[in-house]
Amino acid sequence: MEENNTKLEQIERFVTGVMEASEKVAFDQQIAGDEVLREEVMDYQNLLSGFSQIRENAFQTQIDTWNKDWVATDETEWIEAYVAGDLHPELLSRMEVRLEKNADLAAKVADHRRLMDGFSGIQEKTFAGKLQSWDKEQPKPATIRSLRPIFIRIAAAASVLLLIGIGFNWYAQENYSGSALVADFYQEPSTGTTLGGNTGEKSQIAQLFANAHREFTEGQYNAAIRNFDNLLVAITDSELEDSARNYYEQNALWTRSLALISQGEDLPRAKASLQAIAADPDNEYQKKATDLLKEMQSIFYRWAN
Amino acid sequence: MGNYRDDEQLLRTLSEGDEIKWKAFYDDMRGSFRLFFMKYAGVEPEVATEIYHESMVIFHRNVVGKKLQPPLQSKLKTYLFGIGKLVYRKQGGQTRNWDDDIPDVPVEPEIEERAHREQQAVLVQKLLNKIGNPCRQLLELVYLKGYVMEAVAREMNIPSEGAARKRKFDCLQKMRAMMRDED
Repeated sequence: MEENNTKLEQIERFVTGVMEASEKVAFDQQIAGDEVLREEVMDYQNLLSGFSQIRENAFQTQIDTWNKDWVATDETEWIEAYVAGDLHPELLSRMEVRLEKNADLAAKVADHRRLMDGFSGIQEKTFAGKLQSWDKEQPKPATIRSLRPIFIRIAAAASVLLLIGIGFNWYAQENYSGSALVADFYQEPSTGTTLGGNTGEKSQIAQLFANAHREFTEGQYNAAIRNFDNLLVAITDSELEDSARNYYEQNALWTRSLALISQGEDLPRAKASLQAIAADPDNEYQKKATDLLKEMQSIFYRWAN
Repeated sequence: MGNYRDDEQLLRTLSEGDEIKWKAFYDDMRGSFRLFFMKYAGVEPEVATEIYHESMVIFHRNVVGKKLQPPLQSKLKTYLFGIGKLVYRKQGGQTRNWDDDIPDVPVEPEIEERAHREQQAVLVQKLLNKIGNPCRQLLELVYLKGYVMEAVAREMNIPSEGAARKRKFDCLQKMRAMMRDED
């Protein structure tokens, strides 16, 4: 019985594809020469495949259930993407044709625009000034007296505006603060290998590169910027192949720009650096830099920073 | 441990079949996945949802089947988008001008196998209904819920992980014998 279990364990490893390569070669040979074993393996393959399919069907059913929660808001998400200009040109054109024919949809888009405009209005400086003045009034001792209806209405309106302001502020901080934007745009590269070989010079560059990225991910932006600068100097003096040079240089300039934004002390320099990347059609990060600059012009970014 | 520690931790949780984590992952990825395909592929929202669901099923298969394991070469999100790219290509879509950060994730051909797999699922379900409760419960925990043997032993009050493993093989053998009788 013990031997049976060992064999079954081996068959299961084989069928589920987790067998070591050397063991698999030997087992393949064993199967080829043993018809009874071959049949047994096929039987268990059928059984385990049946189990996987049942599990997959159950997952598919779950997905369908989860999807139902979303359907009601899908249209709003789509409208938001349309209003923000985040659709493919073909889809944008189709949407515009649809809007001409579908008054209900057009009304929803118009409503969404109005809401967005409302948010824009909220961030105007006058509103910020009002928030501050209300804030200053807070510590004054409250006088107990009855308010006339007009003051009650003003107070209610002020409360609503304050809540909207808090909501707007939360949304902006959550999604458009320097660190939130950078987290969206940063992608940690693989720093385990050296491009184009492993000579002393190349491994020194790879080390600088890895250190700068590690410091960046640990939030040590000043150190990361310093190391990216060192890296750029090292690249200039190096004899790297063009492809490797471009890779390190473009990544270093891009990530250094992100570090400058995260650091928040020299935004003009960060923007100038991004503009240079966005203007270079051969730069791998051209599109990302363009998108990031666009985000940095949004009202939410300006509010949050 | 690779470069994507948080994602690797999440992958481990997902591979254990934690339904709440799967739901959260589905919710987290849905919006950005659909918007990505609406923006770069120009597909209608309904088609974007279909691509998302198909990609998610393949992603689930690769995770619970341990085909995707740490150390990761990219974020899970990038991997999922890579599956989506392949699914979209299979539908005749072009992805030439897309962001190169999204890898080509190999997706095994399955359409031809689908009918066969469905038949196997029907057979296994039938056998589970006949095999008797203790075996049924154990096999469901292992193969449908993805429990590790230690958890199976705990759940079923079996004295040890080894004893649970032995019982699993007994049940599998019993199931195979029943399958042979069916033929």
